[in-house]
Amino acid sequence: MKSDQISFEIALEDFDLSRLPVDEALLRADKELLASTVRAYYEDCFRELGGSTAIAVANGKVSVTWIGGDSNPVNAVLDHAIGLLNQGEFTAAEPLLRSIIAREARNGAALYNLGMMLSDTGRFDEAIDCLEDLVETGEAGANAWSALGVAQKRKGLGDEALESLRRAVSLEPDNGYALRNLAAIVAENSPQEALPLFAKATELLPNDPNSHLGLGQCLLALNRNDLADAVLKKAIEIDPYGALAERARSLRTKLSETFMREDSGASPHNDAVDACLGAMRLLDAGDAEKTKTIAFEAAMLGRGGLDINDPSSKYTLKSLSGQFTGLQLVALMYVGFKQIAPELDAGIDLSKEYEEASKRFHRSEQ
Amino acid sequence: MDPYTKNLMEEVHRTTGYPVSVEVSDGLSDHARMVSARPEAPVHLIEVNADYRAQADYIVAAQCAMMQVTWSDPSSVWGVSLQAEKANHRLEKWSKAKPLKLLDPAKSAHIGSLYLRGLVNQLFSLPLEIVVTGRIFAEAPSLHGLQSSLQDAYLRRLSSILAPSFRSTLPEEVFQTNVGMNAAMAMAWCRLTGQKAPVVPYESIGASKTGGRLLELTEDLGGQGTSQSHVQTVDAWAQLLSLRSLYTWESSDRRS
Repeated sequence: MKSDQISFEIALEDFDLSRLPVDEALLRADKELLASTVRAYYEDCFRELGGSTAIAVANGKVSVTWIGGDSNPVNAVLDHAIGLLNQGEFTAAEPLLRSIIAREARNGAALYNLGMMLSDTGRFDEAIDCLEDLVETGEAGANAWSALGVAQKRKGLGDEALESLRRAVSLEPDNGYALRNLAAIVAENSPQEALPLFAKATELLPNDPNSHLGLGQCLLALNRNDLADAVLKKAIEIDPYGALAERARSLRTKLSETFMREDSGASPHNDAVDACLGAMRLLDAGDAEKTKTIAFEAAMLGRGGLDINDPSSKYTLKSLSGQFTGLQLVALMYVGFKQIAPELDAGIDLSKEYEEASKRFHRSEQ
Repeated sequence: MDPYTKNLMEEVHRTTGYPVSVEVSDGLSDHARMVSARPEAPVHLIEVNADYRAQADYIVAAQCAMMQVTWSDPSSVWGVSLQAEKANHRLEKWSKAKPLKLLDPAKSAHIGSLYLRGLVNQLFSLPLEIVVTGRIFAEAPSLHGLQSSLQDAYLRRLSSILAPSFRSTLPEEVFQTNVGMNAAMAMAWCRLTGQKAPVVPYESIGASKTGGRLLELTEDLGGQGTSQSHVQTVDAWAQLLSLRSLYTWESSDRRS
């Protein structure tokens, strides 16, 4: 291979067709179209790099040779591969990274990114091999040990993972990702020990929902509920649609119930009974559409998080005049759902309060 | 949340008088569903398919940007409804040709009407999607990664109609019309990004000519990003695709 070029070959049957912007069934049915599309795809991949690209599709294989202009071809291809990884284009990035490693076996950035990609796509054995090659170069830092620890943990090698992550943190005590990953393993047995690690990770990574969720869960495990609620709220704000946010929302709802029931024990909570009774009166016009509208709007507001333990009336609805407390809105949603769609999970258990309020409501009707 | 997306959500609230709420839902057939607000349900609800949760920032931004166009004047929000007489005439024509003529009449009529609605829905939405895709690409580099991955998935889905097994289930007129519109979308994306791969299948069947003309109409008429410019673009597309007689415009006052 010439010094200014990067070459690789990939079998078409190994090419992940789901990465192309063209339907897989169509491509499988038309080999000529498949060849044209794959060729265009690699032209697209390399266009931004400048230089010249030779692409051949023959005998079930696509061969790509890229010749850089004046730039360093390895660095240019590496940057491009990392860009592809950031877009989730793993299949396109892998041959580029492997072609770099074929030229430079100790290229740390290529080994690291390939190892991370293999780990993220569930190819743990290959990932561990690759990341072990990286740490054996002796030039690897905390990120490399951290990535190795994560891959080992995913593979089920808990002790090895702990050792790698401790090594990562010892190399770089202010590496937020290493701290977070170490904390996640430590928390399984000792939330107390994990707590300062997660706390430091959230300081170093203020926009990382994983660190905040981990810290929130640790605080919950240690019954430090007030602090946990604020941290979980932050996790939701950072990435409101992510799976982690769903988990944080669910934990916050349970936490609100815990707060609410702290002073009522197993008995129905008096304020919640009153709120349910109020909701039954407001929704008792026999108008199912109106009930649906109010319950729906309350539920939508609730997605942003309602403070059900704050007695101030700070919420308003478009569909119902007046100002409401968080608990009153939750009650409107709960009672509304009970009336129009009892199978729906309101996300909070007010069944005792609802039952008690129903008794009082029917007594007052008689 | 990406600041660009957050800002668009706030702009929609200001423009339309209704807030935007986002839900992540399982079981959606598309990557998102928008239920726009009305007085009895006073929230614009954007449902994001849970499978596309990672692209939610872009999906929400795109839905909000589309709403800014269709609701640019909340006192006059335009929608289309099918012209029954003309639609029936078209269905009758299709029922006499393959593949619908091979079906029993009731099934043929049912499937034909689904195709007809599909074409009109696509006619209404694709010019808007092209305008919004271009706007967000220009204004929000921070969303390029999410936009690219979602757009790839979308183009993949649009091109599925070209597979022989799919094509054989469609009247030729439905196929050609649909493919012309899809080609416009693929070409619009390629023009923005410089890519070639998305248009390869359309070039291979000669659909890029229609796609190119539709794209020119969109660029000429849709650039203002108002409901009026959207109506004009849809009508121009419909004229070119011989669909204009199939629908009428209806306006509704959606002020809060």
